[in-house]
Amino acid sequence: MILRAVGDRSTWRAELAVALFLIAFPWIFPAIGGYANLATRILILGLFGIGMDLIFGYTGMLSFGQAAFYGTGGFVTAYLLSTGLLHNTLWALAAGTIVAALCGTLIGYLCLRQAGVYFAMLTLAFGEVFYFLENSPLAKWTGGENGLPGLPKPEIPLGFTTLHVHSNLALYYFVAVCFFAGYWIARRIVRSPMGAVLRAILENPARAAAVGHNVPKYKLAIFTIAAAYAGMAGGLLGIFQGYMPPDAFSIDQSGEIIIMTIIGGAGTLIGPLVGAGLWSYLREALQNLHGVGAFWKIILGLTFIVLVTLFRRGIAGGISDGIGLFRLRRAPAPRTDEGTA
Amino acid sequence: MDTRNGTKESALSRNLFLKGTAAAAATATVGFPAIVRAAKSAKSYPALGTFPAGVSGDTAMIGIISDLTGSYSADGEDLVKGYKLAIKHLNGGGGLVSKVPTLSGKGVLGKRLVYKIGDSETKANPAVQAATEFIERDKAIMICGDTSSAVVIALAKLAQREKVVFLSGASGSNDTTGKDCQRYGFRSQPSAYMDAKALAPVLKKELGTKRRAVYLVPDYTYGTTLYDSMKEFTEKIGWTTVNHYLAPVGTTDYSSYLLNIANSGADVFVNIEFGNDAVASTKQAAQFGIFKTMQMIVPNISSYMPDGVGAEIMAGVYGTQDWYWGLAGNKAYPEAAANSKIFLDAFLKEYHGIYPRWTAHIAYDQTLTWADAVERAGTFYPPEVIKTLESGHKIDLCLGPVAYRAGDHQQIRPVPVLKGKKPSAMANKDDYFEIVGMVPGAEAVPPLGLFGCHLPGYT
Amino acid sequence: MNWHLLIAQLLNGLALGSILALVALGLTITFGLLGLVNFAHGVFFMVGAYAGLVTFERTNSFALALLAGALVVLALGIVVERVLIRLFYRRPPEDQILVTFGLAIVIVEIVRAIFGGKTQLFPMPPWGMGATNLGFLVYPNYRLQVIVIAAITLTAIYLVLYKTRLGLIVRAGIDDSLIVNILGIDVTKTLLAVFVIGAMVAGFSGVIDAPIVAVDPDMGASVLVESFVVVVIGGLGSFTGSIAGGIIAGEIISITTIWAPDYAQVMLYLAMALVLILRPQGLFGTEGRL
Repeated sequence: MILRAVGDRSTWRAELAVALFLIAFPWIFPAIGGYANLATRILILGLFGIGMDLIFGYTGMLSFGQAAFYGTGGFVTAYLLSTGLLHNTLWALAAGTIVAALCGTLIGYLCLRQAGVYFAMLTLAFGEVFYFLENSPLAKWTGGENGLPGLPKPEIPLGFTTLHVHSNLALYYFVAVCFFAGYWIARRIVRSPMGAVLRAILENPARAAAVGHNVPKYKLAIFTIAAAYAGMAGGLLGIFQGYMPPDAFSIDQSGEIIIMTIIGGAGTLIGPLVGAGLWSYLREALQNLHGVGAFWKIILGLTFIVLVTLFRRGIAGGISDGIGLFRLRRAPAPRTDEGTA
Repeated sequence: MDTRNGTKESALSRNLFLKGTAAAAATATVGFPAIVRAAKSAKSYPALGTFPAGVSGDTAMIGIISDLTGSYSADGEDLVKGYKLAIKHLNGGGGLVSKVPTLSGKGVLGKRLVYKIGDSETKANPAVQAATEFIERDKAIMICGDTSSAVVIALAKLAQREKVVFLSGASGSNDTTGKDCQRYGFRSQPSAYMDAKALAPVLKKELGTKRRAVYLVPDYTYGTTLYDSMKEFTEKIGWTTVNHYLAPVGTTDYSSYLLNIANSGADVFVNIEFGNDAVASTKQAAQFGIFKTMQMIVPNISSYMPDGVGAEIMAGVYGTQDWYWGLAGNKAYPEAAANSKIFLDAFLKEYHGIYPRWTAHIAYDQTLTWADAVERAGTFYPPEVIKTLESGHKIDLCLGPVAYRAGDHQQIRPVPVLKGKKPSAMANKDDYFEIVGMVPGAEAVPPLGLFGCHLPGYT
Repeated sequence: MNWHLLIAQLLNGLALGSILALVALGLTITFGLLGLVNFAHGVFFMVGAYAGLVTFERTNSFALALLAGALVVLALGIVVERVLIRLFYRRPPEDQILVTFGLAIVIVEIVRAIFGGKTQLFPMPPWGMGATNLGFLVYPNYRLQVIVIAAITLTAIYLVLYKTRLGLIVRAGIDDSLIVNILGIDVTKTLLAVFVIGAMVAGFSGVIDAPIVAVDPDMGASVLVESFVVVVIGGLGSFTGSIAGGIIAGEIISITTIWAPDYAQVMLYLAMALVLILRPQGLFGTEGRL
């Protein structure tokens, strides 16, 4: 009973901490050389990463094709807004998210027949299909290699008034609200009975199936949800930049989100945000130093290798383990990744 | 290497020292009206984009975006060299700065120019990111660069949204000053239409009227609009368009396209590829024996294409370039000869014997043109700078007197038509072309509005 | 229908396919024998190309360039296996993918730091210049030679792995390391040998392909993805499969280009997806190992 109360309070603590952080971030970030647009970019990647974390960190599926949904959501949103078919930013964003989720269901249905290596390669292949489709056959709508420029700044009708999101800071808070909603929903998911099943699948898919869970159905559901996260993040990217880039579909994009998720800490939901922050900040801080420019990626790559080899919980995982250690005065049970082969 | 850096640095600090003392001593004399003028102008305009935040100190920042890696990186490097030289001359005098009466060689409106360079990797997303950072973090008062039309268009739209003047680097697409034209974007390179229109009469004269052409086209705005324009003007001189093949930017193996081209029955191969892609496709075309039966035309020849494919292949190839160093001191083209020579000599000196290519020329001339407009406007306030650039005032740089067209921000300028020299006829290793003609800008430009340009507002 | 063009594209598909087969072979050896998916395979290909380029520029000898490409990557393979990969043989496939993926990023960036990001042209060896007139088409000599080189290399590797005592030990060591250990053979060396052979083949193919394409730090990425397609179509871990898969992939690209160049790449990936859905173990793969 007592333990449960602690658990519940810590639930709200996590949300509260994230909310406070999101509010304060653009004000503390400049102290270390950051600025509002960089903060916005980090949140967008963090949101994208929540989806990645749901399928990889919580369910153990390593997808190399998440960029397909990031790009799909982005281009649907961007197309609707740049052609003026929709003026309400939220509707366009919702449309992008839904189309990305539908693509997720379709691709998930095809890829989830396989696991492990084959799943990784299949998602990679479908990611490439989306990239090439965007580039040539669909170029009439997506702009192909040009991408879609000319998205207006967000307009959000609230019934009584229309919110015009114009300044960089306003844009940040718009994205922050979206991020928080995404984080809040993801927390509900992982703490629900569905979350428990997902973790059971992560630990041992065969056992999860043996005790009567419909493993493929759960996998497809979470894959679809992850695609929706990617789609929404893609939509926000286009709105934020005023331009939807074709490279959203690239393999690099799929790879980067994996790296960010793992560096930050898979299975923590907030980890991807930490990873995205570190990635973007180091890139920014080191890239403009003459001669050091190229090394930021080497440093991050090496960090990534060390984390994969030794600590699969990443930075946020390490911190939350540390907090748990402090609070409960006992070490949390370490996750035995080695044993799942 | 060390000693050279040493002298450079000491020269720089001496310069700064001299400037400092001059400014301190001259408050009562020369400097005074300038300061008053600056103070007045800063007060009389509202804040817009990065104005006045970007020019509140004693420097003004230029954000350069270029392809340092990726398919167009050789051209991108040449472009950066041009910007650096222009900024050096604007800050410290030299080159064509001494030929433009408004330019002092002591910065622009008394502000020393500083710059940062962002790598676009020939992709729009890194370019837009870098430009956004220059605008937000560094308060860049002007952004410029890149060598891909897709990237340039994305940057111009960003510039329009953020209200910061943007000078496009190499961009040949009709859309840049057509349907995607921007109030805040300016383009000096000839458009695809201008290249094709300038080239067609030469092709008619040299190759006749009964040719069959096949095209290799990079699959984005530059490629498709240049293809459209070439098709239009070559069909006007009686040519047939047999087929065209679109290839993604960054393709490494062109063999399957080239087999189609070899089998097309055409006798002219129009290669629209650019940068590394132009080099790779042309070298592979030679391996497939395509040049034994076909004449090659490259409507817009990339800066380093001849170096990549070699003079044997380039010999006899027709095409255009924005500028070619052979104009320097060239008696046949007196309007461009003297100033091109000044630019060429300054560039050769700065970069120790490396020849400038046309991408460097775009960077150099446009930066000076912008500085001249700022000086004549007397303010960095973007709408005033833009109106000055739109005024039709001609500036006399490497190509002779040129000006932007107010209606679409395309520069009206002559188009050099080139033909590749035989290796035996080359005077030095950079002497790849003879200049067949310079088609006056007024003859080459498309009628205003042909490509659907509607300039958005100033604010 | 232009029959000349079809035959020309079929031949070109064979040339494209033979390089793809060669690259995919290294990947399939490591997977088939070690059960390890190497996402750094493309990087070995790229490092081989750079080693070949540097050697060719210094010595003007393509044979030395080939040797350098193979040897440099051999050395790299030894270091990588000893320091990192050996820790991962018993980890889940996701971990193997992640660590080799991270490794790929680090090596690409190191090469970029050394050689710069610009594309460098690899000169054609003198004997590869010129073209052969086959009557109905002119086809570059080098591409014809590549088909021959690939065929010889593939045969040689096949003979080493499947017809020699060394190959026998290697395969036995993978199947039952305990017994082989009892027989007094060091299994860790066997694992090392397999990994290094796979890497060496990649480095070698990098040099072969370099005169056709060009050399840049990112050239490995597309090669990696294409060789995935090849091994998935042919069957991951199957020797015959990687050859058949390579040729099928080359032909798909070439033949689609005749009618719809835009769809060449899409068709390739759709073919892969189709195989995975209908016959997950690949055309020549055997079920079981995953």
